Amino acid sequence: MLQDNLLSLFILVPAVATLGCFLIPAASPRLVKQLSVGASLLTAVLGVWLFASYDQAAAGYQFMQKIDWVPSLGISYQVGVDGISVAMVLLTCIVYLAGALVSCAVPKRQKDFFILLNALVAGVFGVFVSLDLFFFYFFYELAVVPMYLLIGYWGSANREYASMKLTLYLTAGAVVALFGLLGVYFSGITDTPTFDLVAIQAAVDAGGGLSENLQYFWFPFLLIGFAAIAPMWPLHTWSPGGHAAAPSAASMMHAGVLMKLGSYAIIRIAMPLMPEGAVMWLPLVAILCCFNILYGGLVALNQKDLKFVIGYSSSSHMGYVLLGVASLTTFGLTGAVFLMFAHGVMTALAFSLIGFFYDQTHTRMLDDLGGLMRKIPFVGVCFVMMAMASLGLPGFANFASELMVIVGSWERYPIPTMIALFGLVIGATYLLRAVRAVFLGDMDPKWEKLQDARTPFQRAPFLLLLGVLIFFGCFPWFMTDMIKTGVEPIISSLHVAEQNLIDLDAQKGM
Amino acid sequence: MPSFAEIMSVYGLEFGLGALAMLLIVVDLITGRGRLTGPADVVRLLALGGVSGLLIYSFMFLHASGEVHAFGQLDAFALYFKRFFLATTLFTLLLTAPYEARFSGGRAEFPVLVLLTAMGMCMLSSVGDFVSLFVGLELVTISLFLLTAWRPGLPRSIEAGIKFVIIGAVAAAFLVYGIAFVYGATGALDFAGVSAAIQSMATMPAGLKFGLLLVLVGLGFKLGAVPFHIWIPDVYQGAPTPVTAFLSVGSKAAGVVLLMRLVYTVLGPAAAEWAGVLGGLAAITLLMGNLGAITQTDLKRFLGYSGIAHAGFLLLALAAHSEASASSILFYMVTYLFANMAAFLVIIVVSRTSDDSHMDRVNGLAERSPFLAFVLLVSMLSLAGVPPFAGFVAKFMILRAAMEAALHNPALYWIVGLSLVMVVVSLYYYLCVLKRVYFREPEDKGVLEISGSTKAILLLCVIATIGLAIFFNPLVESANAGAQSLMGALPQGH
Repeated sequence: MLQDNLLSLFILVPAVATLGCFLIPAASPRLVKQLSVGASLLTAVLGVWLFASYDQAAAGYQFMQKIDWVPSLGISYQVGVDGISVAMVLLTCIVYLAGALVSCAVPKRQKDFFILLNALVAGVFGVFVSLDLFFFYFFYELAVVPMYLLIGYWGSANREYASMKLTLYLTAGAVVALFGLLGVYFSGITDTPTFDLVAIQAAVDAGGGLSENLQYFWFPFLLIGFAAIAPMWPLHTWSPGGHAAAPSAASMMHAGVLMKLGSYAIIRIAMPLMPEGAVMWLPLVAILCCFNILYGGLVALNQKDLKFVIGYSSSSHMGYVLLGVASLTTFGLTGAVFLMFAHGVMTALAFSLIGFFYDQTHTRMLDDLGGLMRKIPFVGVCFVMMAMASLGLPGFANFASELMVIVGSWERYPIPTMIALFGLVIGATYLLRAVRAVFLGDMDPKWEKLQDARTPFQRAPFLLLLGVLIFFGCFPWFMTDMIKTGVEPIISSLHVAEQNLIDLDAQKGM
Repeated sequence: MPSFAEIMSVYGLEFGLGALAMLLIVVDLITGRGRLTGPADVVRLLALGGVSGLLIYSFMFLHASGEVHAFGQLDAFALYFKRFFLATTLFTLLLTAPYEARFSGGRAEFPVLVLLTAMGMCMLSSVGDFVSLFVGLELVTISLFLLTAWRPGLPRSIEAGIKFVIIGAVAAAFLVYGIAFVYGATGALDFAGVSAAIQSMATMPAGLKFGLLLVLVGLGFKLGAVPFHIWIPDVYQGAPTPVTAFLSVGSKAAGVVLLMRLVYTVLGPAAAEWAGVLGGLAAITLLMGNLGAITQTDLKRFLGYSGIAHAGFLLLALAAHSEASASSILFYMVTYLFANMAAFLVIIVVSRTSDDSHMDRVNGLAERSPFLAFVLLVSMLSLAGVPPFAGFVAKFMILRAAMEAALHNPALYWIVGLSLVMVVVSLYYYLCVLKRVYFREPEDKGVLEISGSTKAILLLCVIATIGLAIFFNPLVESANAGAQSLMGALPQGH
């Protein structure tokens, strides 16, 4: 019983929490917090259970559930997970839990904040478990729009501009993707049009996919639409400003999970449905992601606001993910998904730590801060560890995953890979610069009154995130074996497609 | 000559509405005009009860039939729209309650005119020939003229009434002139006859094309499509708010129902040639509505432009010309009903002291009444087409149908592309309203009290809007049935 409905629970628990928060009177914010943290705890337990009980030997989609929703439109509610989605669901659980804990410090209108946060999480879970294109899109949009109010109301400097830009950018990306999705839907892959991803996939695998020309035409719509949220250079401009303006939990959800929706959608929908299109277009991604890595990194070097440093570093790190996606190797793509996981946890940690002392200092300017290590050693140490993880120190999950990406893509794209390696050096520079500016050096006396994270309740989210990073850094195979089961079928279909294209070229040449 | 029973089988609801209107006049006379509040309340309650009764009756006892009479028909399509119009009327009467105090007089006559308008609207969903079409349309339009100018003390209301009359008259002239051309070319006035004549022609003569174009444009007046959209902003702003709500939903739907009859039944297969015209109108209407809405500072004007933008979407679906697109229009109208009625009711509440619907009235609404703010959020996002609100499903269905049609008519890809761009534009201006609601400081810090009945109506709209976004199959099924009956109504010769 529970097995059959497990994945729906991931959507229902935060959805019910949304409804619950809605019904609780605004005068009792405590109850709202308890409910939300409870819900996040419950999903975390479910997430660990899902991770443990996914049968890696059998691979493929598991925990499937299908309900015909609107037969006349070919819409069915269908959920299921493979190795890739399991990793992403686990990531969401972790960030949700940490985010809910951190958000207990939200100063005003807690009820509304948690309503939006829970709704957003329901959307994110929905995207990661949906196997129906309609519901995929439904949840995708559901995950994007609450961010507008989260940033616009609870955010900091420049919040109105940043939130509007973010929402419009991501919605623009979404409608481009929708155009592509509908194009694929009506392209006659299946006899009667259906949004059922599994059915479409089966038809593609059986050799009924789109012709090369159509794939060449439709693939970019999905790629660009989803890459806007990934965010691929030059579509990244919404992201650093959005991160910087957002309140802690929103930044955490945002950089930790939302940005992964883009690469996830490319891996889940665009690549398997149009493998030839992927082979033709992904080299472009490999070039663009170099701009992500270099441009993001160099801009991060010159930022004065700590959140902007992390914001640009995120778009730089997403460059590695995209490089792994473009690599067309099992090793590289597994690394990319692993990096999505590791970066999600790392960046959530970064934003939660920044949020913690920003609530007290009300400034994030590197010039104003300094020497904070003396006053807030616990947060400081966590921040240093986060920076070490981010710059790729062995022992953290980021190291293992970045290494996999680089090794995996070396063969196909030697020059981008070298650029990516150089990007690691830049990363080390801006992160160490940030650590020095904030935590080392002389302290301004006005920070004398800073409070460290003392109670276990305050420390819990940081320890949780850090623990996950170290655990998967020391035992990466727990994660990579899982991800690999989902990656392998995609890569093998891409290899077939590549061979097809070579054969086609040969025929034309003759 | 049709028997009375036959006529009643199609126009029973209309007779009910007419009888109810007469009853209200009589009751008003009997209860006396001396007292200020009493009779109006009695009349309003009677109207509400009567319309609810008819709505329930239509759901429980009325069944669609395939029979096509010379004077009209009660197919699933007509029934769907009759229910829709009754629901719209009910909402309009409900919206009048919190507004009524602002009327200087004629509080008892107001519901009578609303009922007569509803009678015309219901009639339009069944009509089978151009003459009854014109009669029904004029019944709707003339009653609405009066309703628009219902506040003689307010210059804007009078101005709105005059503008509405003039442009409405021009549109009616277009329509009649067009009908004359159609009659001249086909020798028939009933839809079946015209349709049969069109199909027997190898090519349409220029006169017929011209006539049909005039009819199309004349009906576009109701829908709010370019070029007869210009009345909308001024009239919406000037009319009493419940009337604006009635106009925005009911009057638009009246245009929709007639255009659909015309395009799907009368033109039939010949409609393919008209896809270009409809698509072009859709594109211009989308641009006009969406770009116009961006700069608005008055809520009612703003909703007017947003209504034009929605008309663009509906025209896109008409251009797609398939059963799926017809069904998507039917679905769309219902989601539009709930979102718009909620928005107008919020406007009535926030502007109750000043009688002015400037956008500043909603500034900081989240501080003054979180519930109203939430209602406006649901309504705006549903209009913008964002999940989990019903407007999303509606837009999705239209786009899906249009993309399907684009397989045969690639020009539609461009219009779909344009409409997608416009979705993003529309999200911008709807969010700008929400920006005021949530991020701005209120001008008046006082808590906004709302009555229990208002709250109940708003809650109903919210629940319907969210419910239809998730459990939309039942409504899709009945929309499909309506679309099927519309498409399946094969033209019959004389």
